[in-house]
Amino acid sequence: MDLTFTPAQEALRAEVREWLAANAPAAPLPSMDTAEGFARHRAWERRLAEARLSVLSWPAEYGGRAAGLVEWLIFEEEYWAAGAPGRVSQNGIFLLAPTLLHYGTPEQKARFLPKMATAEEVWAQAWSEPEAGSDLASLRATATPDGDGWRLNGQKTWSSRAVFADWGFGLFRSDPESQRHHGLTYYLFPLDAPGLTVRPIAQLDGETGFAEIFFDDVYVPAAQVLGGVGEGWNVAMATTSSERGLTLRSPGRFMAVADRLLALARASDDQTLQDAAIRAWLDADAYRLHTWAAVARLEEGVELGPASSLMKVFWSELDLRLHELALALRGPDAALADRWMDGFLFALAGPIYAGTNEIQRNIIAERVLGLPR
Amino acid sequence: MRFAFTRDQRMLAQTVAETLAKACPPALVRAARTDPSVRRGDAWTALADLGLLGAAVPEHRGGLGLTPLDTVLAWVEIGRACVPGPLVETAVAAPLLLPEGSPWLERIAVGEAAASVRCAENPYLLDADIADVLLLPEEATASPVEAPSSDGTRRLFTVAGETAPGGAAADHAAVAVAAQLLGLGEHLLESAVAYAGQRRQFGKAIGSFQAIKHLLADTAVKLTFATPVVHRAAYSLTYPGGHTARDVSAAKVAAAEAAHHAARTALQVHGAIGYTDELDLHLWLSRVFALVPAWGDPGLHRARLRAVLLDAPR
Ligand SMILES: Cc1cc2nc3c(=O)[nH]c(=O)nc-3n(C[C@H](O)[C@H](O)[C@H](O)COP(=O)(O)OP(=O)(O)OC[C@H]3O[C@@H](n4cnc5c(N)ncnc54)[C@H](O)[C@@H]3O)c2cc1C
Repeated sequence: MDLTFTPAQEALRAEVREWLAANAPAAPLPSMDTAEGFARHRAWERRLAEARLSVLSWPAEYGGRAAGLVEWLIFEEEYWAAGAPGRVSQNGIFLLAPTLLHYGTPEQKARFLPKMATAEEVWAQAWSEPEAGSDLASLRATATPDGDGWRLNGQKTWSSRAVFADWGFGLFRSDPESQRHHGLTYYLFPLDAPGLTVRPIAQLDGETGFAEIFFDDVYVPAAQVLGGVGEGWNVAMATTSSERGLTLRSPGRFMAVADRLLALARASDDQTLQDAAIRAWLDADAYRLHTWAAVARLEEGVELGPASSLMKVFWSELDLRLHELALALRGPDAALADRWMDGFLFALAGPIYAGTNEIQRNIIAERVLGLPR
Repeated sequence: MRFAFTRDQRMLAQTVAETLAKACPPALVRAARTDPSVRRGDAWTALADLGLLGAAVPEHRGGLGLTPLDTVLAWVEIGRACVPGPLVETAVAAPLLLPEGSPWLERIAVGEAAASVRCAENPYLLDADIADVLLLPEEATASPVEAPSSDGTRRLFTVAGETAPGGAAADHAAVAVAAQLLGLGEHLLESAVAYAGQRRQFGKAIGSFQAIKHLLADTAVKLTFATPVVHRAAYSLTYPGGHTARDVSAAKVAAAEAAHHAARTALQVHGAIGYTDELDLHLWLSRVFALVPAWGDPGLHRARLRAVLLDAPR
């Protein structure tokens, strides 16, 4: 066991820290769920990309530095500690990209990854449907062969950032005879395609953070199928397991919040809240340690598998607790619409998206512990 | 950065686990409640034969000279098997408290001597009745008096007089106890999962009920995230770097909470049979409840964490 960093890793940390100190916006950007805020976040991603910091772990040909997971974790720690903007391109770079790198054709990678890295194209994910939430395999949106390509029909919903994004990815039933997770195919489609309508949905903070997407005979060429026809479920599961696992929620993000929480606790004289804040800080630290251990296992070739569900439950509940305690420590100021309240409202969604925590507990019980279905 | 154990460290733990599977069956733990010799019986001898009692004793004094990082996984296994006896006191605390030239070190290393320790973090002398040496940072003014112990496999004694902090010995002991708590918790979770797969009600295995699944899943989450905290504490003891107090207290707090949760869950999943003396489960429950306040009760560690995390901005 060695919990120290190499000189190269320390140099990367210093580079990221200095670059962020010189370049990160001093004041928070407007919400990325507004037209103006989205454009500002997109511009920020371009600057990150120009410094080759937007997608550190990708191969150099697509805009990355072929960095390892430890380097990526270092970047994330610095990124969130600096209070840098939320990543408007996160669903593309963290969720689609790993799948694209694994299943994509060389042409698909060359076509999509570089523009994803610079946020010239921002991606939205389109899994959920009105009647298919937790039970995603019951999805009904269809894909029908048409010449060299496909026609998409149906409705997706709760698609984050689809209001302002450029492209979408999701599952459609390409075999009308199929049931459940069979006969599904993974498609990539531009959100301005003819026949496609995006209807914004305001979230509980009033901003249009997600959208419904209606498909009316939307044409998609065969080159925009990711992975094999009918293989969509397996291809998609690769994405969700990275979502639940490492890439979407790095420990750096929670450590930064936990450090700010401790600062609030220091200024308080309520020992009960102080103890609770310390306990939450320790859990953020535990999440970081667990991630390091997971990285060591991944480097030995051990897959995360269903154990990523343990992580999803832990980080989402941790995030909520960090913010709840911050609000408690802020006393009457907890009524203000500020960064803590924004963070709290976002944390509230954590136990719902990326597979609800009830579904994750089912997975832990059945697939980690081996309890009967 | 490599947060993983070496092959040797994992092998030692596996050897300890295999040895204890034979040398420390539940019947032995049970017998420790009535027969004092059991606390220095087969399991003690088996661990001594592996060198584990002398793990922290320097090689030139007959020990293995191992670090906390080398042995922390083995302590998880000792917890899992619920081994009775003053093991942490003898194998972890005593070597740090005894003067370098003490002849007790050689005797401890071969399993011939048992120690019982009292200090500010650990005011009760464990198993003083079977110990050869009592280590008290301050002179005791009287001989030990037995106090009623909640865990029948552990005998507790007090002595009159002030006591002093145990220093490094207390930190090392706290991490060994935290590791035992993880092992106890894992055993309790495994027992509950196994029982939930067998016990049928309403025509089904109770483990198919979602309420049971989610209880067990929560325990798994708690144990999973307490584990690296304990491992990191062992690292901090091995390579002290300024955060030892924080890391040790974090480990004890996290492991105690996770093990307590595992104990509550395991009992709930077993129903009434778990509440009996007949089933072995309660031996593990009692050990958890006894180790949570040992070597730094939760309040002591909370106070230490307040001091290190709140007083100085990081
Ligand atoms: C902020 C936010 C962003 C999102 N972004 C996207 C996105 O970009 N793209 C996308 O496709 N989707 C997105 N979603 C949708 C998300 O994936 C779904 O909300 C989620 O899968 C749950 O589906 P549902 O909302 O229909 O709830 P339901 O499935 O109707 O669940 C309602 C409740 O019932 C419980 N429940 C359901 N089934 C079970 C069961 N078997 N056992 C126990 N309890 C059960 C759930 O846990 C939940 O508590 C987003 C959601 C939120 C809140």
